[in-house]
Amino acid sequence: MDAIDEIALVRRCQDGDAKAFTALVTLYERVVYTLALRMTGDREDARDISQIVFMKVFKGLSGFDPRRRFFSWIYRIAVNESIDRLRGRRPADPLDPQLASTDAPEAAAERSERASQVQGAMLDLNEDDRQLLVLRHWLDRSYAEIGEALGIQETTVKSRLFEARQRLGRALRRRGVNEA
Amino acid sequence: MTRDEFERIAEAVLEGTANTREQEQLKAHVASDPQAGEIWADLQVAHVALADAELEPLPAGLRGEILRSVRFPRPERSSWWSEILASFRARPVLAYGSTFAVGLAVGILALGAWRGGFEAGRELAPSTVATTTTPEQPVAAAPVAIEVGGAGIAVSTTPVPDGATVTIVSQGAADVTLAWDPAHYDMAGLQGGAGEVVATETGWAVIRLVPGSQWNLTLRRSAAAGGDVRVTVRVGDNEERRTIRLPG
Repeated sequence: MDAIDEIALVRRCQDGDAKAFTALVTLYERVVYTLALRMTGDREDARDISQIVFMKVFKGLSGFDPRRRFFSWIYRIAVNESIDRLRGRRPADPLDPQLASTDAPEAAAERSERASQVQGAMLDLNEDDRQLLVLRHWLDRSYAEIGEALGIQETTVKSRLFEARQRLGRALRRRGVNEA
Repeated sequence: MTRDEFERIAEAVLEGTANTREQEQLKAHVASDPQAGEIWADLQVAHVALADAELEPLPAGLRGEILRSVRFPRPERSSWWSEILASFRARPVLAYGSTFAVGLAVGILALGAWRGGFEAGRELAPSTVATTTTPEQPVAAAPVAIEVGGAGIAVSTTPVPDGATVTIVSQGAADVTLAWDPAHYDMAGLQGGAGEVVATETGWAVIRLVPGSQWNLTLRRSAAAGGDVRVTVRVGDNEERRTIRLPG
C-alpha cells in the first residue's frame, strides 16, 4: 500500500468507517506485535501492548493529521507502550529469551536455538539499539523511514545501526555464537 | 582508513555490493588494526544472525481481540431503511414484481437480523447462528479448568475429522470469548443448550454462559495442522485467559 492509499484509509477511519479500521489493523498488527515482542521479549506483553496500541490509535485518530506518516505515529505509540511495560516490570521478572523455541519441531531445533540466542542478545542491548535493529531487520524499513520514525537524520541512522549491529554481534559472541 | 570509510565499506562487503578494491581495503585494515578486527568480527556475527532472524507468527485471535476492544458508533437504522427505499425509487420496475418483492422481504429480514445482531447480538438465539456440527469422536482431551468469580468453566477439546470440537461447560454465569487463527481454522458450528451467542466473527466468538451451559464450537482445519484456541473468561471485572492447543 502506498502513502496515498494509507492516507485515504486513515481518513475513512476518521469518518467512522469500521471496515477501514479493520484494514488498518490488518496492515499494522504485525508491525506492532513484532516491535513489542522484540522490545519486551515476552509474547503475552506483546499481545497486550498490541491491543493497547490500537485502542490508543482508535481514540487518537480524530486528532491525527493525515499528512503525517501513519507508520511513524503508530510506531511511536508502540515503542512508548513497550518501554512503559519494561519499566513497570519488577527487576525480578524474568524476560523470555526463548522466543520461537516453544513447540519447535526437532527439525527446526537448530534454527530455534539461533533465534533464542538472537533474542537473548537483543535483550542485552539498550532500547535505542533494539528499536533500530527491529525497524531495519524485522520490519524492513528504509533508512529514511527509520529516520522519520526516530526523528533523526538518515546518516545518523546508518551510523547508529552500524554500532547497534556491532553491539549485537558482541552480545552474540559472549553467548558463544560465532560467525557461520 | 577513517571511521566513516570503515563503516561504509564494511556495510558494502556484508551486503555483497563492495568491489574487489574495497574488499581488499577492508581486509588490509582489519588485519592491521586489532580494534577494527574485533568490530569486523562482531559485525559478521550480527549479520549472519540477523539474516536468519524470522518473524514470529501472530498469535491466534489477536486481530479479533484488537477489533473487539474498539467500538465504532452503530449506523442509524433509519438510514439503512432509507437506502432500501431509495433503491426502490431508483428502479421502480422492481416494485411491480411480486415474486421479487417476496424474495426481497425475506432478504431484508435476514439482513436486519444480521445487522441488529452483530453489535449486541443479544437478539440472536443460539440456533440462529448454529450450523451443522461434525459428529464428535469419543476421545476428548482432559478438560482445562478456568475459575473466575465462581463461574467454574471447564474447556475440553475433541478431535473430529478435519478439525476439532471445543466444548465449554460452566457452573456459573460468565462471558466467554473463543479466539482462533482464521488462517488455520474456520468455524463449522456453534451449538449450545443454555446461554446465548453475543457475537461471532471470523476468528472469534463470544458466548454468554448461564449456570449449567454447555457449548460446542466445531472448527474445521483450513491449513496445515497446528494452532490453538484462546479462551477468555470474564465475570464482572475479573478475567482469566488460557491458550489451549487444538488436537491434530
